[in-house]
Amino acid sequence: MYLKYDRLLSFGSVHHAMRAEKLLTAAEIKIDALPTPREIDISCGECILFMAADQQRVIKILDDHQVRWTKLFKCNMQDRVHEEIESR
Amino acid sequence: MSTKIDARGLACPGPVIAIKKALEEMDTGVVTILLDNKIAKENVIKFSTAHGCGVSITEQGGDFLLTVCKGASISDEPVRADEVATSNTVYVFTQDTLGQGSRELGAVLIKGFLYTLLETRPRPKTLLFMNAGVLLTIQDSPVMDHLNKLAQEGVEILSCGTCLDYFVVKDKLAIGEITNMYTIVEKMTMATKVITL
Amino acid sequence: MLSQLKKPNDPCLLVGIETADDAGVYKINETTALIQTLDFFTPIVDDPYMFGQIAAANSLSDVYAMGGKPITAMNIVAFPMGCLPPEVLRDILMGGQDKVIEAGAVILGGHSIDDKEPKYGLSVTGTVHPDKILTNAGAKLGDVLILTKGIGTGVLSTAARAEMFPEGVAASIESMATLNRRAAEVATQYTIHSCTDITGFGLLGHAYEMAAGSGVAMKIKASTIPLLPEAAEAATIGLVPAGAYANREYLTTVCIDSSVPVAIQDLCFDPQTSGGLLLSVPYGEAEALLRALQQGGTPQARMIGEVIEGERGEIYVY
Repeated sequence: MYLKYDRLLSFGSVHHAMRAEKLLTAAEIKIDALPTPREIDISCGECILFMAADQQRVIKILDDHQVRWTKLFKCNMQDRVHEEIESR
Repeated sequence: MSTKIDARGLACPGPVIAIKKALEEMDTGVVTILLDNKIAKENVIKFSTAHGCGVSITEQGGDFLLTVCKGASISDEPVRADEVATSNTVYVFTQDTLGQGSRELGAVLIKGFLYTLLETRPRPKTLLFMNAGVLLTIQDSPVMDHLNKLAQEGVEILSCGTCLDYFVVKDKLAIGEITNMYTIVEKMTMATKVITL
Repeated sequence: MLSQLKKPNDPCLLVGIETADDAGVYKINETTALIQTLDFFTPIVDDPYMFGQIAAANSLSDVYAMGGKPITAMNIVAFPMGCLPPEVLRDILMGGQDKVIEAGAVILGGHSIDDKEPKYGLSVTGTVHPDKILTNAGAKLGDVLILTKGIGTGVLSTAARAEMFPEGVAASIESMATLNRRAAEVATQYTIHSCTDITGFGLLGHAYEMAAGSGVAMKIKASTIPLLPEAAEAATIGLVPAGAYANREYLTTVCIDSSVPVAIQDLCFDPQTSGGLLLSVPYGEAEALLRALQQGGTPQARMIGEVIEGERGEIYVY
């Protein structure tokens, strides 16, 4: 379930989030898509969760396809604590 | 409601007192608090998560900016994991997406909706699935994880037998029970609140 | 830093600074050794009399931790004359004196200086039989660890400043003002391999000193550690003092299982003021000693762990 993921990516628009979901699923990377937590962004939005081990692959696929992500967090979905590690 | 606090320079336990006060003064909303040391950051995170609030942390030139979000169902008392109250609210899902206008967007929204329902207290009593809504309760449903979690917490999940039959998926039901129109109408009538999607 | 000072070369020096022990011990003759210790600090409670009581209990504790009996004490005072009313100083000194009397010792005098921030404590002299000195360096494999007071004074002092958890704060004040006298009197009737009092480095810091000094490893069961009332609740909501974080960072040979709640972990590193005694006792005497402690004025005493095989100084908390 989504609790196991420890990386979270937020996006500039839901279109980019939806594209990201499609691309990463096609690349067979384990992900989940959720409404962006309010403590990260108040507007609805969708964010993508994945495992830290897949971080490099995920960022590369999204950058190669010009999918605009805004912030990368180290996340603890159990406690709902998200630490920003990179932003664009 | 949104509050901004600059808690830099406050001696321990000033930052915890500041976040406590800010969260007590709002029903729901977001507090941003600026801190200048790791200890204050750890302690404010502990206070926030103990009270069921989500926290995001951004480093800003040596300082820490924390965004703390208090949801509607959060009380001022620390949340106990074994306390999950239920209210007599029934949700009726009449399609396998949420809203009109774009099926693609609707698929994203229904997933998001059920995820957020997981986080909501008190729990709903029953989820009723009718018409294309039954496509959400069969094998390979994109929302099965969320429905499983809700069912584990005692939420009743019922799918209309006629609808499952119509879509020829009766043997693919993967969660909850099959029900009929009598039960569906009864559940809706006896509920305190009915929300139809 | 202390290692840069000249090492004393005196055969009468029984316990010096090498083992980072609680006090110094110097042999006078075949039946008597002198214990010397001092401690002082800034106020941790608002009430001046209680501050005096706690500071005195804290200073006297080191003597009990060495297995001795305090006999004399001298006041160490820093006070902002002219800024605080003299009654405040009087109450501090009364609190200290009453505690020294309770310990069966005598205040001989003291020294005070003018200082913007009040500080108080004692220099204490005690006696012990040279063959009966308890050090923090004698724990043996198979020993049981017993702790005589609940922990959490650092967290509860933070709670006091936040004006929260009044019951816990009151219990903490009472615990800090309690002498380790009764605990030491009971314990010294049994075989004690090692003893130290729990103060600024927290339970795990002082357990580490004992383990390292004894050349052993230890395991501690988190759920058996006695806690002061409301200490866990206060730690859970982030009323954790900087000292706890500093102690955690410093103690690299401590390994805590992730199943131990973070609040309990924080309490294990929480700096204590005038804490209880940590005793390392042979397995065969542990039950009897525990019962004697609990019935003899130390009801919070608990068995919390064991001395085990392992790398010197390693502490495993589970």
